[in-house]
Parts: sequence; structure tokens; C-alpha cells
Amino acid sequence: MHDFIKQQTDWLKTWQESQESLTKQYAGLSEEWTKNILGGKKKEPDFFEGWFKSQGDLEEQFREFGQRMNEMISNVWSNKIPTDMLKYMNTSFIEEYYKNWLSNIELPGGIKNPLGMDGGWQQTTNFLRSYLEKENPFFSSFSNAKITEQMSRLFGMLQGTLGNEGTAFSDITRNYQNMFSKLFDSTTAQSSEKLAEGFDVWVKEIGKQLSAPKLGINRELAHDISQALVLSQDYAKTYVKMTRLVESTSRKAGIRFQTKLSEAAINKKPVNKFADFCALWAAENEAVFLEVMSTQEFAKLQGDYVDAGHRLKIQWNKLAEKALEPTPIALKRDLDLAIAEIHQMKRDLRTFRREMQAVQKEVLLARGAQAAAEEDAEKAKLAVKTAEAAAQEELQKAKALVKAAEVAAREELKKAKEAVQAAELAALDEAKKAKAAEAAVLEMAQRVTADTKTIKTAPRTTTKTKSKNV
Amino acid sequence: MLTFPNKFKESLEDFTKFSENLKKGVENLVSLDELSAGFDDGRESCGSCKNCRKCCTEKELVFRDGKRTLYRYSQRSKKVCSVPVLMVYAMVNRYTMLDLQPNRSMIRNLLDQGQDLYLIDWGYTDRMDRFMTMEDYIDGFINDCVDFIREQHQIEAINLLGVCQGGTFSAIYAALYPEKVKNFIPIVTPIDFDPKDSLLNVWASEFDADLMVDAYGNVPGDMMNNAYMMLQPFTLSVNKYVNMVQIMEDADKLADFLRMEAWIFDSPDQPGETLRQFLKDLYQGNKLVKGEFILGGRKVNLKNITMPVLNIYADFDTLVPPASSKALLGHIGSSDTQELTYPVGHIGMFVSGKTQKTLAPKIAEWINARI
Repeated sequence: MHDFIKQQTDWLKTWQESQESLTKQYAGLSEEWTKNILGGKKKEPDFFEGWFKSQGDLEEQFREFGQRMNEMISNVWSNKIPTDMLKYMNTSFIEEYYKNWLSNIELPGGIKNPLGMDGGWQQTTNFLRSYLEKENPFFSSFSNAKITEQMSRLFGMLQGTLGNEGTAFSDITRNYQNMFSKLFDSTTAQSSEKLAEGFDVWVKEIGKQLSAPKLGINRELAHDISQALVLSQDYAKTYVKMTRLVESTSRKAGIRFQTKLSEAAINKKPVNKFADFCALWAAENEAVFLEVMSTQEFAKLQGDYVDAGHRLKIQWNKLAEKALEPTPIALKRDLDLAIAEIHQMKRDLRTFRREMQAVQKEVLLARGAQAAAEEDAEKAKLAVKTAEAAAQEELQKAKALVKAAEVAAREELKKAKEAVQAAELAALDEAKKAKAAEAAVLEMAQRVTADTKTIKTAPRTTTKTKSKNV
Repeated sequence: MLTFPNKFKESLEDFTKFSENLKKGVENLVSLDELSAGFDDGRESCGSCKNCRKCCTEKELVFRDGKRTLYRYSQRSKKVCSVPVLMVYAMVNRYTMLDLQPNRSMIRNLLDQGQDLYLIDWGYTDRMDRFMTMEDYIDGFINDCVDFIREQHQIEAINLLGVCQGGTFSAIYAALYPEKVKNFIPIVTPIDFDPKDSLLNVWASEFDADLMVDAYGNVPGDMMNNAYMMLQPFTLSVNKYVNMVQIMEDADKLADFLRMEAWIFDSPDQPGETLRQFLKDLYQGNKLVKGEFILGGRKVNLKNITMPVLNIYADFDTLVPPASSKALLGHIGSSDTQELTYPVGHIGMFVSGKTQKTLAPKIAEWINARI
């Protein structure tokens, strides 16, 4: 890789030196030419020869640069960036630009295109045609493979399986391919139209031959080929319409671009810088094309073209299947069938999985509910046991309390009895005391009576006594 | 008097500069060994994208169904939002646009704002996906991913962020399962396919989608890509590469340019049956806004979108015209809606300098206010 880099860098250095020298040479010649034009001097034919050669050398220089750039990018980057990107990184436009750049350099006296250069890049048709068939599958409807390449593969397969190389049938398929190749390689709408007309005539002629038994193909295949030819005609017709539209739009865009360039030159602001030139080219072309492409009419034409391409592709797919039928190769329809079944199984599996998940959820919920119920029952049992134990305890406590109360009551009763006895004894005692007191009182009363009798008979004296409350 | 030599000198200098740029550019191309994400911390490729050698932002595969994958991004912020965001990108092109390089990454910006991000990678469509329908993708994988995230986080609803076609898918999902979507953020999302200011809408109205799918099966990615290029044929096919020469001398700018190119041309094929329904029912029938769109036997009613909606679109979008996105708010049942627009194009929404600093913070702020 190191050698490659060195080689490329050296080449670039040489190229740049050469480019500068050639451009200066061309500038010198142009200056001389201008002076002479202004001075009214005639120039020798040798001068023009030198001038043209100088210009040619420059063009060659840029062509080589473009090619080398492409080569370098492919070598260095092909394994690092997408193929599609490489396709668009086509640096050959540098060469195209250079031609236009030279032709648009402002010269004194308002002279434009001094060398009579025309065509090339300001004509957008070539660029746009690449979108029609060769590069852009959106228009061509044939993916990234050229329609002619698909044809070649298809009829190669057909002939391979039929084994009829060199027969009248193989002549038909060869002509079919040749005519289509020419049609899509034609460079103008006019030539495409002529070729499409020729194709129509050919199809009519071949239609008669296809039914002839000498062709060596069965009726079904003849019918399928015939169908493909009719669809090819439709496709070619819409293709011609599209190329015509692209060409006329391109012409309009080209005129607009040239007008803008001239206007810029007249206003003393020539578009000489490469980037400015490209920006103007892109902007003017795009404006014109988008004006056309945004209409419903364009959408209709494009739709017709794309649909015609798809119909033809479907028919060719059918022919390819026919070609492969006798071989042990799995057919597209068989694979599609298998894939569809696998897909359905996957969908069923997904539905089943979801149902399972739903059931699992329900089971989990149910299990949860059961577990909760069991837990509740356990809890209830426990609660009953606890309650029983508590009740028992309470009963014991109550019994104990009752016993204690009985004991206490007995005690109290005993105490009460004792108190009663004591009270009775006390009462008896008091009664005794009272009797004694009564007796004493009686005795005292008797004494008093006796004393009174005595007093009545004896001289009077006063006596004080204290009574006790018993 | 002689202006010619001066003009010529000027042109000569210009072209000399041009060729010098080319020379340096080629040297840069040669020395630019690998088109990484511009971020080298020794991690290996995630293997999820063809052209990106290294992941820009670290992520982990958390759920898979065939080639369809759900990733969760590693946190970059200490404070993380409790409700994660599921990002649904379009099936056209790859989600790597959201995480192109460290200084152009909507994903990084959202992570830095404390969002917990999940992302759906549809993978590269192949023949086995020929019969995959919109129902398989929306009611199938998106729904599976949403359920996965809800279960992981033990939450009822997630935040849903859809981009372009992924936004349309997300809107359909949000209408079918409003209870699982807490907030909905569609970005540059086509909803109303009627506006004729889009060339795609005009072109799509006049061709037979059935024929296309029947002819191809899966429709080639480059076919879709070229249709997009035809929206600006000269700008995108020529002028872009002329301008490239101007920046080729700067290795970093060249790498940025090529990284973007690699993304543009990284276009997976479109699954046939999905594209058939998308073209017929939406581009041609405009059934979503008419309330006639059916998915898996169920009618999709946008009025069911009752959660808060932040509708984000680009003023200069040529792929999805602003009117197509703007229409959403007129068809949904939500009372909490907000619009956010930027003066950028479709892709510029995710990579332009204008949006890098403000888009993610605004989204995060809007979400956080509704958690």
C-alpha cells in the first residue's frame, strides 16, 4: 500500500506541474490571439493549430485526471465504502467541466465560445439518460442490473435448458436482445423512437413464426414468449415517451443555463470558478426539471413507464421459472411458498406465545388468589387458636379470679362471722355490762329509796352524783 | 483594456487551488484507513451496521426476534428519567443517522439529558422478510418491545419517539395501545399523505404498487434511494460531489462527508408486503387521516391518541413536507399537544449544527415535565 500511495502522490505532483505549464501555454496563446483580434492582424494557420493543440492537450490532461481519480478511489476505497457511493463519485465530470470552463471564459468584445465548442456537459440529456436506464432503477424498474443484462441472463438460461443453440428459436431470442440493446443504448429520443418502431415491425413478423411447429418449442412457452414481446413493446413505447420528455426538458434547461452564463458575462461577472459553474449548472437544470417533474402529467408518464417495466419483469420472471423447471434448482415460487408458510408459522407462534403469556398471567393471578386464600385460612386458624388460647387463658384467669373471689368472700365471710361473733360477744358483754349497770342502778335506786326514807326521817343534806352513760 | 488575462489568471488560480485540493484529498482518501464513527475508545464493531466500523455510543442488545433487535443505550448522566424512551426509526435507511458521530448524535444528546434510551433496529431485510406486514412490525415487534420495557421497569406506560416512517408506525401503535404510551414524540413523521407539495406524494399517486411488489418481492433499497435522489437530481448527484472537492483537503471534514455518504447509501431493501400496504393505504389511499386504516383487522383511530404529544418537523423537508407532519395534531384526541419546528431539512433535523444543541434538551425538558 505504501508503494501505491507514493506512486499516486508522485503522479499527482507531475500532473499538477504539467497542468500549470499547459494552462500557462494556453493562456499565452489566447492572449496573443486576443491582441491580434483587437489589432486586426491576421494569424497564420500554424498559430491556430498550436492553439487547438494546446487546448486538446489540456482536455487530455483533464480526461486523464478524471480517469486516474476514479481508479484511485476504486483501488483505495472499494472495500470501505458502498458500491452505490462509488457510482456517484464519478470524477469524469472534471473533464466535462473543463471543456465548458474553457468555452465560457469571457473574451473582450463579447465573444463567446471562441472555439466553437458545444455539446458536452451543458447538455443534460446524457446525464439524465443515465437515470433512465443504466444507473437509476427508479426509472428503469430493473433494480441495479441493466435491463439488457437481465435479458441476456434470462435467454441464456432458456437456451441452456432447452438446448436449442443455433435453432430458429435461438435466432429469435438473439434478435430480441439485440434490438432491445440498441434501443436502450441509443443516444437520442429520435433514434429510440425509430428503433421502437422497428421493434414493433419485428414483433409482428415474429408473432407468426412463434406458432410454427418447426420452432421446436411447446405452445405454452410460445405463448409466454409472445406475451413478453407484447409487454416489451409497451415498455419500449413508454421508454421512448420518457426519453422524449427528458430530452426536451434538457434542451430547455440547457438554453436556460447558457442564457444565465451569457447574462453573467454581459454583466461582467463571468462564471469562471469551477464550483460556481457547477452550482449554476445544477441550480438551473434542477429548476427546469423539477418544474416538469412536479406535474401530475409527469407522474402519470412515470407511472406508465414504471408499471410497464414491472409487467415485463413479472413476465420474464415467469419465463425464468419455466427455464428452471426441468432443473433441480429450487424455483422462486417454491421458495416464496416455503417462506410464506414459515412466516405464517412464525405469526402463529407469536399469537400462541402471547396467548401463553396471557394464560400464564391468569394462572399466576389464580395462583396468587389461591395462595392468598390459603394464607387467609391459615391466618383464620391461627386467629381461632389464638382466640381459643386467649379464651382459655381468660377462663383460667376468670376461674382463678372466681377462686380468689371465693377465698376472699370466704375470708370476708369468716371475718364477718368473726366480726359478728365479736360484736355478739361485745354486745353480750355490753348487755352484761348493761345488766350489771342496771343492777347497779337498781341497787342504787333501792339505796336511794332507802336513803330517801332515811332522809325523811333524818335532817336534810344535799348530795351530788355523777351518772355514767352506759 | 485587456480583462481577459486577469480573468484568466483568476480562473487559473481557482483551478490550481481546485487541483491542489484534489491532490490533498486523494492523499487523505488513501491515508484515511477506516471509516469509523470518528470515535475510538478501542471498542469493537457492534455488527449491527454494514458500514460503520465502530459504534458511536455504547449500547447493549436486550431483546431480539429474528433479525429485529432492541438495544438499550448505556447511561451518560447520573440523574436518569424514570420512564424510558423507545426510539422507532424508519425501515428506509438505518438508525445510525441518530448516532452518526460524537458531535452529531441525537442519541448522545438525549442520554446527556438524562433520558433512558431504547432503540429498535429493524435489521437488513432479506428474502425471509418478503411476507412481513405492517401488522408484524407494529402489533408484533414494537408491541413486544414495549411490553419488554414495561416489564423490565415495572411501569404501565413508556415514552415513544418515532422518526419518519417509524413515526407513522409509532402513531398507529399509540392509537392501538394508548394505555401503554405515556408520551408520544413523532419527528419528521408523515401522517397526511395528501399534500401535493411533495414530489414523492405526486409520483406515488400514479403507479401500481402491487405490480412493483409482485415484480420484486422485497423492493431494492437502491431503488428507494434513487427515488429520493430524484427529488434534487442535480444537487445530489453532481453538485454535492463538486463541493466535496472543496473540503477534501481537510481530513476531518472529508471523513464527516464520507460518513454521511456511507449512511445515505446504506439502504436496506423494503419488505414487500409492508411496502405494499404503506404505499397503497397511506401514500395512495391516505387512510390514516381518513380513519379507514386497518391493521390486523382493527381500525386505527387517531383520536385514541390521548397522551401528551410533542410533534417535531422540519421547515425545509422535501421528503416529508411539513404539512404532512403538521396534520397529526388535527386528528388526535390529546389535549396536551405541542409543536417544535426547525429551519432545516429532513436529515438536517438530526445532524445539523442548528439542532445539535437544542433539540435533545427541548425533548428532555418536555418529557420531564410530564413524568
